[in-house]
Amino acid sequence: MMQAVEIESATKRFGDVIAVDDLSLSIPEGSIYGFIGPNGSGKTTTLRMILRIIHPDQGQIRVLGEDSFTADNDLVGYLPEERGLYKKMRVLELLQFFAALKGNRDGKTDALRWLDELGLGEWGNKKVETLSKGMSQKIQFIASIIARPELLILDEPFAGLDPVNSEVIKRTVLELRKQGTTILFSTHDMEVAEKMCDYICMMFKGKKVIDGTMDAIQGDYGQNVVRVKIADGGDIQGQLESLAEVEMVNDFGLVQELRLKPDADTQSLLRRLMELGTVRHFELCRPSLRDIFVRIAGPESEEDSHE
Amino acid sequence: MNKSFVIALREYRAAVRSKAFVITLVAMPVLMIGSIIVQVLLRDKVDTTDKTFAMVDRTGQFEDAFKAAVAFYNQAMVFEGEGDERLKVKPEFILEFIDPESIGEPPESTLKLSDRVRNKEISGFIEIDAGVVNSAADAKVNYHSQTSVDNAFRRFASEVVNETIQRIRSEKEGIDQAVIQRVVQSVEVNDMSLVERDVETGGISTPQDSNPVVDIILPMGLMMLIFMAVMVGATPLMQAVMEEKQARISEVLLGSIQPFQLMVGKLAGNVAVSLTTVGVYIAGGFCTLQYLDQSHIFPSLQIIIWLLVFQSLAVLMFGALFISIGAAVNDMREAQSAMMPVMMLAMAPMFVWLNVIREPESTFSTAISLFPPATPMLMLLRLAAPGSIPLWQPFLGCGLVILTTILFIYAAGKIFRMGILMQGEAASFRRMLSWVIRS
Repeated sequence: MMQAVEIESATKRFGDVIAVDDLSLSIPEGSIYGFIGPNGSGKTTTLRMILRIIHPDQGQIRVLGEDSFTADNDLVGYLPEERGLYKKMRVLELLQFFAALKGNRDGKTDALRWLDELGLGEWGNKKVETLSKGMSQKIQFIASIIARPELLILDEPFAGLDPVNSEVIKRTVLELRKQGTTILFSTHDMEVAEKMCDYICMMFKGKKVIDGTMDAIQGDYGQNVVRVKIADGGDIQGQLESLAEVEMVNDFGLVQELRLKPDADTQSLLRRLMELGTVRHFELCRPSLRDIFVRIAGPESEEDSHE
Repeated sequence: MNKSFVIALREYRAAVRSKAFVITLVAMPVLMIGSIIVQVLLRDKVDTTDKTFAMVDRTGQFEDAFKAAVAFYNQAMVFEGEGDERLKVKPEFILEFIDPESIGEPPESTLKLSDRVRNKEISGFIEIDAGVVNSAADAKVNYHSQTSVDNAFRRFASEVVNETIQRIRSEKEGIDQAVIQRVVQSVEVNDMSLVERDVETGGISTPQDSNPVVDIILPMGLMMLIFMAVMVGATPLMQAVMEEKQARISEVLLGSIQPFQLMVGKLAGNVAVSLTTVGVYIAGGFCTLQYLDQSHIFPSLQIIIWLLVFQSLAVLMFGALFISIGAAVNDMREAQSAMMPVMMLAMAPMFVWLNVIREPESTFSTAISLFPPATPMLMLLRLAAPGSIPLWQPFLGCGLVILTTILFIYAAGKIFRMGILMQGEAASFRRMLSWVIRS
């Protein structure tokens, strides 16, 4: 399989801080590749290096087969995390401007088509300042795909979007993948990553800690999570934590997720749970990305990932 | 370069369509013409309330002369127009002659009269010492008033006193007044232009009255045009970069274009905006002069070309500096302190232009006009001023400015690249320098 992006031992320092530390990874063409990790883990720096906005201090980065640092990146679309638009421009004019910057001379047709598809058909002649936040985020998204990129890089594309708009973007991303676009996005929402990505790379403190398909990752980290629902009042969490098989409890209120110790016997666990109350639900699950992440990075990192 | 063009086009459109641009474009001439109109209108709006002055004549020889002169003045100088349109444009003078015996000697007399001025009874007073006519050493004529700003009466009194003294002295010496008139009759020295031989007719042109508009105001106006082009473009350019940085537009743009291309595009857009401004003014000036039938004082094509060249270079050179500032700072407050030195540099020609236009060919003028930041304005000033400077000088100046501009753009490119992605604190000068040298 051809690789859309190949990074070999890339390191980037800002003063004394090592933002990205000896990172190597490859992103297969036509895949959806997710970058996850808490804030400050080096995701944005990696994306900026792939875009040639900043250059690594060491290492090689090959994008769509090119490793020149001055490569024109018309084939790469980018939606930054921190985004802004010219407030005084009209929507259509703005999209044509971004298309022209990427060398797409037929920007108007594409812009009109995308505006229609994302439900903004009426807004082409409105000024950007009149748009709601969700609308401008969609406009920004269109700006990143208007030049029909081969590689689309999205930095936190779903942050701040309501579920409806989030769904629209998600659908579009999947549609683009179907047409052959390689999609690379970063998020700290692990559930989105889990559901959408063919490949996942988890970063922590500048280093890659996990890299692979969701199946492979879950395989590596074993099936040692049990989801239970026990019909009983009282301090369930405290009682669950005191069980010998349980390492950690993730209490969702109605449902509790129990992460088991490495050699824990699930049958004896079930017996003990029945002693606590009526077991309504008992399910052996594959560990979620968050579980895996917390296990690798330590419980304190979970706080970071919620920022 | 294609991408820079896309940026330049957007910048140009955004700038030219903005209200601020149209307002500035219209406001400049409106302000200039407006101030002239206001002055003309206000000329008739002076206070024409008659003014009373006291006079202590210790010689006893001036009263008649003053009476006659005041009567003439009030009759002939205070009104303008004829018949129904006769309009009082100045206050009349009313003179109060004070008996020297009753008022006493200075300083008591001076104090008494000063008090009367303070009490608004009179506007001022004049004391003539007894020895004035005989040229006594310590004899003086003093005019006292609350302010020296309005000195119309002092000038009037001075003329009357001197004429009277001349008359008294010549009578004393037995010389005929008419003889004196003939002796002291002054001759005016005319201020004329040079003449040249007409190539077609072979004749020599007639000299023209020297025209201060052509000699001073026109070169200064051209210089100001460059100054204005730099200033009008600079702040919006800097603010635009700052806003793009604040609104995080920069990062979106950097996904599509290299920082240097982005900066060059912005500068090119800015030059286009300034050329538009200056173009409008040149066309406006030409039409106005044509309308006033004064088109002969319009600068030559050569000067216009130099103007456009130097103006474009100045906008590029200073634009690069202002862009660096915009990229390096986070808000207007920081920007203002960083702008000070650049502003001073841009304004430097304003402090020396008078010296340069007085002697365009002096060593000082030549040297200062070859100092690149000052070259566009001062070289153009020298080119437009009367007289001619060797042609190698503007070309050398042009070359030096191009080199400086390239250097500034190179440095600004580095600062811009680092600055626009940096959030938080403003970059110190030392930090910017390290970006330029190291990155």
